[in-house]
Amino acid sequence: MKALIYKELKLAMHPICYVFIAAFPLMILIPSYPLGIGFIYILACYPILFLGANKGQQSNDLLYSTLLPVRKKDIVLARIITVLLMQASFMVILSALYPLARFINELMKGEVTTPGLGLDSYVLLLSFAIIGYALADLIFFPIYYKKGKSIVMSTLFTIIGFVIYIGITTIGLPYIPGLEILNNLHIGIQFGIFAISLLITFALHFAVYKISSKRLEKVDF
Amino acid sequence: MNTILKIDKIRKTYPSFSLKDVSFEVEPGQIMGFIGRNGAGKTTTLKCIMNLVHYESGNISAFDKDMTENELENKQKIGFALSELNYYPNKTIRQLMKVTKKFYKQFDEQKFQEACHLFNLNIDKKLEELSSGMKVKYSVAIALSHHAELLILDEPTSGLDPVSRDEILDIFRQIVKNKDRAILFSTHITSDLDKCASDITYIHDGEIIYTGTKKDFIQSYLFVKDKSMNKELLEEYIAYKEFDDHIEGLIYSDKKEKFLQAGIEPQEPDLEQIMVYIERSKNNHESFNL
Repeated sequence: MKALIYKELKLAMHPICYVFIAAFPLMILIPSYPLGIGFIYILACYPILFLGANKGQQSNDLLYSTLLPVRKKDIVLARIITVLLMQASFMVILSALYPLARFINELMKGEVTTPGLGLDSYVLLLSFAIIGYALADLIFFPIYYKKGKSIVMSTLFTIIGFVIYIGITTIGLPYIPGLEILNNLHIGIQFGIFAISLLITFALHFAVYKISSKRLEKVDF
Repeated sequence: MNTILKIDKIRKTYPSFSLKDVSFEVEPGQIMGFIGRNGAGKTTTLKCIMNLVHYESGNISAFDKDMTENELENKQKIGFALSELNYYPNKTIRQLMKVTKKFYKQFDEQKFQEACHLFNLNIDKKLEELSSGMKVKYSVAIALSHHAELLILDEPTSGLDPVSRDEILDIFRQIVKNKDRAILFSTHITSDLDKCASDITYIHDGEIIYTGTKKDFIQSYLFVKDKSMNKELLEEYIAYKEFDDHIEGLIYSDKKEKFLQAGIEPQEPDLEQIMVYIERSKNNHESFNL
């Protein structure tokens, strides 16, 4: 597995993915930017990771990997871990920038406020985001590994699904009468929800792994 | 270990094509040429060996171990290259080697460097910058570096100029010189087999029609060029072509006497002649007007 992760980071991860991970969290610094929407941009790395991006040439990573002395299910697991690392890095950078975003917002509006439109409870927002990513992976991975060739349908359905989910949970939810409370949730409760979200994410990714590896086993190259 | 690779009655069905009980063996020291027309099933068979294509029935074992159950262990000892090396085109040989070596227990980087030097491979070149011949050499260099005992190469000489082809075939002969390794390579270029194959497996429309030594294969046929245009002997041919001034075709060697009695001297055929006439006989060539 160590070798596969090394391969993912050295070969499969196009340098532009690292740029995206580092650069897109900067969106949070735009005053009043809907934070939930910012989470979508990491999905831009998916087609690049799975297909490669070099003057229109595909990396054909799946073919390269299947020729190596590794189990196909480990190829899938390594890819899931890579995507999780991408998502985690993205959220760590985003969280690190969050105090600065609050400060900029304060300067602009003259009051202390959370940046962005929608949900104000940041840890709760992260909880929704990680579940959203798990759901996105549950759409993307099984569709991609059904044939292991095209990323068009998997990317399309993933983005549509994620936008709907993140729009409802991080922007729409606090506007529903009775749910305004979500904006001012006690930090302890937020971390409690975050812990539960981590468990849900783990369970969903286990499903992603099981379904996708089973599908890849059946693919003829 | 007498057999490096054993393929036993492999069946694989596609809507318009199928492998029908494909069986053959590869032994140490052999260069096995896997021949057949385009679309005959060569690549599919090779992919079955590497578990890239799932077969419906039959069995494949390498190094006396079932390939499906011992895939990881066996792949450590197999070097495999498809006809077109088309992964990670923008990575350099050095970058790919650094990653690939992590997957092989016995990878010898020094040996890789030596092989690249011997093959005149610049390891700082990207794969997309390599010629077809260089790509084959890269695959062979990787295989040699992890001490592969079996090299499986899909049409390694296809698209190469004669000099590059000759270089690759020289490398093949060097690899099996010590009789501890074997090469299975598919091709439809019969002159490659004339030069270096010790054995031949011939596949036609998903069916193996011959597997054995090249010598036996060639000796079982004779090529006839009949300037007397003896029509009474036409039914003795496996397949023939009629020209304005002669008939030429392929016969089984045991028919030699009949032709000698008719004053026609059959000759030893080359592989191309055998392949052309066997394919002609199987495909029921009909004349057509252009």
